[in-house]
Formats: sequence, structure tokens, C-alpha cells
Amino acid sequence: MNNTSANPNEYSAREKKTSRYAAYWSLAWGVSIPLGCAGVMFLPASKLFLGIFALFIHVGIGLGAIRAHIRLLETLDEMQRKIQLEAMAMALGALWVAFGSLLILHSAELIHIDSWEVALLAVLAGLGMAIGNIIGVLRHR
Amino acid sequence: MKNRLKVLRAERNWTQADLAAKLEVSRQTINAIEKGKFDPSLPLAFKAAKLFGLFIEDIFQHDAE
Repeated sequence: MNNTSANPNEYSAREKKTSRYAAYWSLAWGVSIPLGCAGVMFLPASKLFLGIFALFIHVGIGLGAIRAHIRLLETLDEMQRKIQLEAMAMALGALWVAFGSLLILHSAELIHIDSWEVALLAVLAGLGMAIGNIIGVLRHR
Repeated sequence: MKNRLKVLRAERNWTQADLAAKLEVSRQTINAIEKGKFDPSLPLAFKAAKLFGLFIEDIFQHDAE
């Protein structure tokens, strides 16, 4: 992608800005899950209404986070983009394997899946991303 | 892929950060290219060649297999 700029430091400033936005949106998305669940469980209102409201907020923030990450990828230079894409592949792969494993174990009645196991999948995705980034940076050092 | 980026940069007294700013990439990318840990794309290689006023082949040499 062609990121032309007149200012020599504009790439660095642009990368920092889009990285910050991606981080903020990711944090907001992460927080929306426990807040939504807690709201439904503890607020004195209709669970149906609260659940749908929390769902809309969560999906809206999630879409914002997706857009922020796409913008981040567009901003990064080719090596940084390669590292991020590989980290995303690692996170996605880890999610697939973990989710498939949980389903198999649940079917075999070795475990019982509830909301906590599902929530841990989100944590696993984050960890996969972080580990993928570290591996990518170390490999190109 | 071998390259003469470090030599060409040193001839002009540029830091990695200077070269990164001129090529609109991160300093880490310049470092990785100089060490042979990352091969630049064709557009980036052309950009580097234009910056130094050289042909691509004068900067980057493909490793013989």
C-alpha cells in the first residue's frame, strides 16, 4: 500500500496513532463482555432488554475494533504488516483448535462448557496475538 | 538476499532512522533488510534504488541457490 507523506516522521506518527486506536478499541471490546454479562446479571431490569442492549453495544464496539485493526494494517509498512498478519493467523488458529477441543471434550462428556470456558477463548486469542507479535519481532531482529 | 543498504547509508552518514523516514518505513524494517532477515517488496526496492540514484541490482543481489 502506498503511504505517501511529505513529513519524514509522518509514518512513525501515523503508526503510533493507529496502533493506539486499535488498542483502545480492543480494550473497549474486551471490557464490554464482562460489563455486559455483569449488567445482565446484577442490574434490576428485564434480562431480555438488558441482554439485547448489551449485545448491541458489544457488537458495535466489536465492529469498531475490526475497523481499527484494518486501518492499522493499512498503515503499517510491509514487514510490520507481515508480522501482524502472522500473529493474527496464530491467534485464529489457536482459537479454532481450542474451540474444537472444547466441543470434542464436551461431546465426550469429559467437561461441561459454560460461559467461563467461552470467555477464556477470548483471552486465548489475545495471548495468541501477543505471542505471535513477539515471535515476529524476534525473528526479524 | 544480500544488499548494500548499510554501506550506501553509511556513505551518506544516515542513521537507520533517517533512511527509514526517507523510505517511509519503520527503523525495524531497515534493520531487518540490512541484516538479511527481511526481503523488501519490489516497490520498496525501487524506492530505495531511486533514493540512492542506482539500479536495483546495484543495491540488492539475489542469493545463488
